[in-house]
Amino acid sequence: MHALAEPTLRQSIALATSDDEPAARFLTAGEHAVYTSLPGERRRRDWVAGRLAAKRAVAETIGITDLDFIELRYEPRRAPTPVLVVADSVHPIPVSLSIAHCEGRAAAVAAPAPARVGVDLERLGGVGAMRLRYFLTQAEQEATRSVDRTALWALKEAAWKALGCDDRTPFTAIELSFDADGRIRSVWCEGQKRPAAAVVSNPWPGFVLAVIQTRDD
Amino acid sequence: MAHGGQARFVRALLVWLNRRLAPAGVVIGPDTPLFAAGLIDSIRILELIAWTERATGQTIPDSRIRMDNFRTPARMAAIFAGEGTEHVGS
Repeated sequence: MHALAEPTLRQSIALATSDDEPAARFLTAGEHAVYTSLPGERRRRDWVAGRLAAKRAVAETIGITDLDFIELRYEPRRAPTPVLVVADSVHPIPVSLSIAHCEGRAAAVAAPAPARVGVDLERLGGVGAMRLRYFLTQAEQEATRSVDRTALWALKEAAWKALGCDDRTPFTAIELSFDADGRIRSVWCEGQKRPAAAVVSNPWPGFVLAVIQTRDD
Repeated sequence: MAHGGQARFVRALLVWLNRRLAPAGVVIGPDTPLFAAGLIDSIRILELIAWTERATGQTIPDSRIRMDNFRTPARMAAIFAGEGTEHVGS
């Protein structure tokens, strides 16, 4: 299992690349139909890596090793819904799941409900200094002067996913709140504060991964 | 129908998008969804914002920096390109 340890949070983070396993080996028939319908090789590589990472994360969360029992039900513009398929019976899996992919690599995070998780994966170096104001509030800019700029984007996108925001949410409507040591302790969205914790790592050279977990109070 | 400022904005934007951000083999048009189907990575919105500010000569307020305002070139023009837009083509 390709997991990054985070002992203080109940969550599983898994990685995958599009070359790890043949798609036919771990996709269900329904998933394979979606896979073959996707336009372009680049999109298909990212998608299949994302599904593999997601199945690994969900499997670790519920304590199974056989990915064949997990199916990810497709939902447009949202993380898929995982279900456990045993024989002909289908059982919902009560986890929060988030997937990110970039250039044939993918990461996924799963955590038992009612936790809410979000993940983002980016290639480092994609954010110029002058562009921080596009997605960070003034308070965030002042609190994060030593943090890599692409990591900040990834954290903000991970928070956006964890909160279930839609495309109409302005980037600065979400605000990450940091403690004196620079760790994220809460996230604000439209005036509501939620506890939060984050993990940032470099799973592959040149890439940054951000995971945020929060919950409804 | 788009007015003159919007039409100029879209023309210049499409030239830039197809040169800089379009994946190989894809031609982006006025109504092409930029992010919904994964055509362009979401982080690229930062380049779209910067281009739009250069093109219009105006700072985009925080409240208007949201994904849905950048979902297609035509949507960007409708939101950000006014009749008096003069800087398009930068």
